[in-house]
Amino acid sequence: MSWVDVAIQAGIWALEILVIAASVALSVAYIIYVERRVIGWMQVRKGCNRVGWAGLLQPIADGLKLFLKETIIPTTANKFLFVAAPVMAMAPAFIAFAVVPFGETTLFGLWETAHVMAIANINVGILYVMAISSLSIYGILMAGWASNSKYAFLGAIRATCQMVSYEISMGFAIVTVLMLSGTMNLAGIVHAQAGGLLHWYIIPLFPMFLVFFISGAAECNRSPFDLPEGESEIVAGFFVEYSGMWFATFSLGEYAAMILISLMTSILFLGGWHAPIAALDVIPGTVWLLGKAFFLIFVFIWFRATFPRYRYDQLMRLGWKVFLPWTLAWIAVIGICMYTPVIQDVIAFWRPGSGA
Amino acid sequence: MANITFPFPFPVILPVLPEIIVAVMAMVILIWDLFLPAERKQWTAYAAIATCLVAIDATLRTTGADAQMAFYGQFVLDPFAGFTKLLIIGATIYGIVLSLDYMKSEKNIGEYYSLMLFSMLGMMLMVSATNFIIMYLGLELMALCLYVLVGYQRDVLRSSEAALKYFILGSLASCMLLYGISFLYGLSGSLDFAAVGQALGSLGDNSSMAVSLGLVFIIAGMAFKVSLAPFHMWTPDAYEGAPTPITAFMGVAPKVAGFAILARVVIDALPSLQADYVTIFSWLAVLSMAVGNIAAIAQRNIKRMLAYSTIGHVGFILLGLIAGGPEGYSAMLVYLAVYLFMNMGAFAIIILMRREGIQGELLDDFAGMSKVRPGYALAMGLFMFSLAGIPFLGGFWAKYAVLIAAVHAGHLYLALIGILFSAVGAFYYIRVVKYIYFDEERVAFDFSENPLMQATVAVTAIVVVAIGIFPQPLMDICRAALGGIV
Amino acid sequence: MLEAAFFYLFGGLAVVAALGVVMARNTIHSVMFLIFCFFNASGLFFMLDAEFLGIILILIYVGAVMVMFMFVIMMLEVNFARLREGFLQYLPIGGAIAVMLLIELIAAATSGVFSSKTASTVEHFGREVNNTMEIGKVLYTKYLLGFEIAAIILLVALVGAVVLTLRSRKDAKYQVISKQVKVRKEDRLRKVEM
Repeated sequence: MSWVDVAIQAGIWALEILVIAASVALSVAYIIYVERRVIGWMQVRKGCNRVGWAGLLQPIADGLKLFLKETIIPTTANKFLFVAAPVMAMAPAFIAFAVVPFGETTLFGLWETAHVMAIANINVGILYVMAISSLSIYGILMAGWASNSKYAFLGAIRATCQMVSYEISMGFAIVTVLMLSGTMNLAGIVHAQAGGLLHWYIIPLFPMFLVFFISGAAECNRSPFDLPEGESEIVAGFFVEYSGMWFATFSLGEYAAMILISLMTSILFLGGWHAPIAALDVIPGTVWLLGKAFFLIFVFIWFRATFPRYRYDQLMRLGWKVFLPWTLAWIAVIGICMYTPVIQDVIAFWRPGSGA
Repeated sequence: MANITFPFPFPVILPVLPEIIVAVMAMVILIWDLFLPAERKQWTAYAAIATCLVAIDATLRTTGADAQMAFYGQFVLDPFAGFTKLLIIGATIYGIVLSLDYMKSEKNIGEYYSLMLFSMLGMMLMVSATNFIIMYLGLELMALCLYVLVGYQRDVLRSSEAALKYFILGSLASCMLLYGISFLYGLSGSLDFAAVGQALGSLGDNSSMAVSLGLVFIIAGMAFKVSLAPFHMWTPDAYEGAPTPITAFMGVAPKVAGFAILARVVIDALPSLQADYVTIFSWLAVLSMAVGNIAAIAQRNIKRMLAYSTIGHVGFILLGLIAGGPEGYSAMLVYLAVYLFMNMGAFAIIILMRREGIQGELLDDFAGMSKVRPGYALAMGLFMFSLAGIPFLGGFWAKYAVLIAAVHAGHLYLALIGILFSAVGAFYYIRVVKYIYFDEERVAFDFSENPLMQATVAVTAIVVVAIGIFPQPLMDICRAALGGIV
Repeated sequence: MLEAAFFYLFGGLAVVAALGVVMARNTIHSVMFLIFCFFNASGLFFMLDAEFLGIILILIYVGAVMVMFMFVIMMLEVNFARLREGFLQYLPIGGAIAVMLLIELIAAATSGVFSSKTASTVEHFGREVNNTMEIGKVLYTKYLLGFEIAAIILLVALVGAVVLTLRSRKDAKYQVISKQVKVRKEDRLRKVEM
């Protein structure tokens, strides 16, 4: 490979990263807008509607406002970690997008075979997403500790316990998917679900779908699991001391994580970029994937408008005493089914590589 | 019925049957305990004893004259493993019986007994290992359970301190062991004992630094686990702080397992390094006998004293390993078997001496016991004489066997040092007897009246005497147990 | 060439980070250095085409174990002055052992037995091998016994931790869901004459 090729390849990668990062950031801005409108609609009020037509310029105005605000660093804070924390919270959510396959394309017939639209289509994609998204906890933990404030620290502790607890059941839910698909490659998992609605893993793994999605809500501290922020008792939790752009960075990370969870749920359980029935294949796969993800984001918002916040012991109980046994049992069920004579053939319907 | 096709060949499991029974029962007890009302928690102890008895039966039935491999050659059941397993299970039964009264008032006793079973499981796997990974995992399983058991009385400061010391030093020793193993792995590209032995043998240049480092680290790690001096520092503290039944248990069972696996490692994996390891072992043995027997004299607490006595005895047992050959290894087994009974008996007497819920632990507490409890006094006297190696008790033949083996293997000087320290050691054992028979009673005890324990003490005393009078059957069994290994 | 460069980059940074762990005055910084060290170790795994191990290292150690470490350290009040009290006193003997060990290790490493010939080479380098699948196959066949023992060790660790720390408090209030669900109107409501 000559240097020119290397430079071109690097340029292409940089472009891909830029495109995805920019669209995620923009999506975050408009998801916040959608959230305000949808909750307003659900609660029979207007929501933001002043800036621009139907309030469409509101996110930009908000962004501008946060950007121009002064960033205050408390005197007793650990300066370096205080500043690093928001970045550490946000970066993992963005980095994880590197392996998300947005669809397959032949680039309008230019390539002979379909390529997966992902920056890096790696073998252990799903593990990569798990590993990277588990890192965002450090940002929160650091924010809480570096702020040198009781509320922030309490929020960080709550967040840590919560994320560590729910990560386990989330991981086990993924294991059931892996057992059926036989691959850890995200595109491979989507391929395994080809062939219409019935092949989607939501059918054999419905309880795991619920566990994964709800754990996902807990992972990105969404309501009703937003105890780390708990406005009523610990003001704003781990980012109570943050203002201006650093505060916005936390939100950016949180909403990016939400988009990621929605995409992952679509990929793992809802057939990724496949259309539910063959007749609808004319619509491009990417649209399907983004549509499914958007629906799930809508469900997140719906949660927020509907459920009251969990109490802490209830939260732990749900994670450890309900989800964890549930997922473990389901792994055993799937495992036994895969080697039980008659059921084996039924399960083979969802196992394209099994040869049965 | 259609064929069930597994994607892998199903492993041979019959030789692992005792371990499987123990593992399953330990978990069953763990869960069963949750559903037992508080006054019936004691049942878990009886279940644990029953499990041990079944495991003994299974071991006897599955052990044949030949070595049987299981789990793709990573596990072996030969007479050597079978015999040491019986010793380990025996020690565990003792430990449980001694705990019956002692742990009655503690909470979470279901977990206590299942941890003992898990610990036993670790040791059983360890003695059957033919592979460094299984050996290490078995060792860790055993050690992890013991760390918890030592600190079980968490409201007793001494207990927690002992557990913490034991844990930290134990982890360090595990690191050393792993580090040594990684050297041997790097040299041979395999973790199987036999393959490592072959690779080291064909290496030619045996004095290579890497080989020696691997050897030294492995021996250091194992020496810690069987509390050989100078890796014995944790022993007195851990023995003193642990609940007394656990002290008795960890004084015997891990030693049996540790020596068994050490023997297997030196026979299978390190035969080409015999000259090197014999040198290291000789120093360790001399140091252990010296430290154990001399430091014990200064102890006022009987548990501490017995801790040092263990270090001394471990030094003697190592003599068997140094001597090598059928005679040396069988002497080692004889010593381990006899030591099991003497040590357990002594601890049983200590546990029986209860005073307002406090254990009699000081040497002074034994003063004048012969007048109050002649039976216990006689038993304790027997155990002490046996530990000292007075002729025509079990302990004498044990010492005799290792010393003769050492002499035959050409280690005359080691045998002489052994006799010397044995004489030193006799002093502090006999001092206990002096307290019991020739001193006036100082504190009143209400002795625990547990028929099962009293029966155990009686049986143990009889066994010690019986071995003393008829040592030949035990020696024959131990010789036969070497069938699969030498 | 590029590979060697990356190897020295990851290796060097790992060593620097490890030094940072022991040198840092602030324990939180130590933990951060340790995390950094893990990342570099994971990078080394990636260079050996062992992406599964690399990712698992991050997932387990960085994602879970170190979080717990940090959690504990934040909760504890670590007194650095007391921690360093005996430092100089033990330095000579500790340092001597460390230097001796270092010399021995260097001697062992250069003794020739670990030469590139005997070291296992990465045979599949550059080839498409799904090492997750390969590890799975070996783990569940040849090393099945070890795998099971490891599982029991984890169980014991769990039980041990619970046994040593659980204290049931009499004044604590527990939520019994089944009881809550079973409650009927008659249990809670009563009519009061006004």
